[in-house]
Amino acid sequence: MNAQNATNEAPSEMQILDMSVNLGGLEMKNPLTTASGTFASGMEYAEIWADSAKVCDGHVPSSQAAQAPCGGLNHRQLSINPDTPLSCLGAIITKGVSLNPWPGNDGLRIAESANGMLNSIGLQNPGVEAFCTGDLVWLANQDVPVIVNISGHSVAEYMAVVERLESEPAVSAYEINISCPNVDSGGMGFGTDPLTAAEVTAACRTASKRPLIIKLTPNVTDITEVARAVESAGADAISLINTVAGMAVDIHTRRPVFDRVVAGLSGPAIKPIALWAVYRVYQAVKLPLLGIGGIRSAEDVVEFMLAGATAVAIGTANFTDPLTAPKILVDLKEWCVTQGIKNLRELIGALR
Amino acid sequence: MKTVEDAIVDSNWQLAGDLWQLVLRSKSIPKQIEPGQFVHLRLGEKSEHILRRPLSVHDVFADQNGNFEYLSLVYQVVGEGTDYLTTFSKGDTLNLIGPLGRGWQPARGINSALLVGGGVGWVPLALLAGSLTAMGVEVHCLIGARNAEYYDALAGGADFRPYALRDTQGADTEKFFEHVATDDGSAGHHGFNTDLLEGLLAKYNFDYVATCGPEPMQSKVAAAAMAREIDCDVSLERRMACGVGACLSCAVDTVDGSKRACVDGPVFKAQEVVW
Repeated sequence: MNAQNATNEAPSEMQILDMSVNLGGLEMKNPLTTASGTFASGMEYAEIWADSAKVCDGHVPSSQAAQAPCGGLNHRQLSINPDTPLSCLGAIITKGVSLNPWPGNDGLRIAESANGMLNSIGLQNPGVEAFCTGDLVWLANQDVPVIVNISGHSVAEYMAVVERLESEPAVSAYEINISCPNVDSGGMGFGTDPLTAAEVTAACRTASKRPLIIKLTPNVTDITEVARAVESAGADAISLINTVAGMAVDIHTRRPVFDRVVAGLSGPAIKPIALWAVYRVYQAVKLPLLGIGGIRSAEDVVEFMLAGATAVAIGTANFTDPLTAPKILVDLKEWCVTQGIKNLRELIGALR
Repeated sequence: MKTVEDAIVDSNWQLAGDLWQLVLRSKSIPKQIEPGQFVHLRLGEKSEHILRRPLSVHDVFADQNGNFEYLSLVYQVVGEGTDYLTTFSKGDTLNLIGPLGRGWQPARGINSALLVGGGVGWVPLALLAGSLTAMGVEVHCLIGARNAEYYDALAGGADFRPYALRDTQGADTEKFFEHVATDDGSAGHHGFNTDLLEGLLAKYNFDYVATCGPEPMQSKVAAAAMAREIDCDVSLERRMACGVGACLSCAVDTVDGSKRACVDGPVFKAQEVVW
């Protein structure tokens, strides 16, 4: 906790700022996590966060957080433990993990659009076994709750991934991706139909007692219908939104930019869509919500919480500025202090 | 060590046509740059451009006190983002992540190198030309450009020749050669730089080839070098989002499966790449 550095409040007052939230049984020390696919397993960002702390500090205390003002940080004092940089987050959500290795999509994989970007990565990943023996071993020592994002081509594949991960104590929760527009079979196909969404949810539910978060797509007529279906099927929380389906055109070749034509739009451009989805689903279900879509500032976090989110994920903003998440944490604490907020949970759904 | 840093624009000017040179003052990045590495540049804090642009480092140089704090980037205006980049001027701030990527990997003890650059692809080779010259390696630069003006911009008007010979007082400048081809014949050979490739490979005894530019050109250079069993590095351009290895936007097909241009590259061994 370092909000005392940003204000003149006495330390004793600071200790009563409670930022913790509970996302469907997952205890998070603050509401900040990372959107799947933008953060890999966090290793690359951990290195940059730790290095930024070093550059700023000149020397690195090994056991305590480095207080780090430096270029690029706009005079913020980041609170980053150089040994476990990700431990400042409430949780990390991993890149999508599938049963077997997936190669990802051919052709161009990204394109910029105004205040946003399109991606067609295609859930490239080495499969659950390689994940367990690779990234997860590293994640187990990072002092941060691990939410593993899961993809599948069939209900059986989703279930098989959950079953394999059940024996891994480093895993805290699952986020089930039934909403990716970038794969042919499975992906978004499961999330656009309330019946199949419920089917995947129920299958994963039987395979685990761990917190089960279902990630929904905005590419439906009524997102609340799918939300109610996964609630009835045993989900513990809902994350929303995945990317918005879109495309790009190359006028020189007169061809679609992406081999699969469709791609997923993310970034600040979709924030209003995401807020509207969170607001509506908050009215429709009792489950806690993880808000995702164009979040890049502490103000954005507060907006999503007021609309009904219990926690939020930083996605595309990680690309714009790799230090976004730690900066938001500092700013969010400062905002709470200036607003006299002692418990961040009081913001959840507090829209007047 | 990768740093996220606010750099200050020292100059940003039009070299020729759509080629621009951006010189930035940065505390920690120029000191660490190795030839072939890049920086990931954010197009301003308030920009609607949310993706950074990966730009090859063209040169680094010192101020009067010998502090290596200047970074030269040469870029081509190819779209809205790079067009917007031309609007930044002296004193403005641009946020960088760098140094990034794996640079050129010449073996120790090489004697003679051929560096083949096509257009703006010459940029990441300029720093290599300088460092190899400083090491006493015979360097042949084979540059393909649109016309004489572009060739001058890439090789002459910018810092390339000054850099290459700058720190090499005492080095044998007779071991430094330029070969040029232009699309319109206004300088050097009228045609592709690859037209000159076989002649050079036959005439000189190169033990290292490095190339950057359009991929069809690079694949020709790679094939020619591999046919003669000369160690060859290529530098591949890909669209990048994170620039640090996380997002898998910049996938490159290699004989060992999919790799990331941002961290496994942008420089790859020619025989690794599946063209």
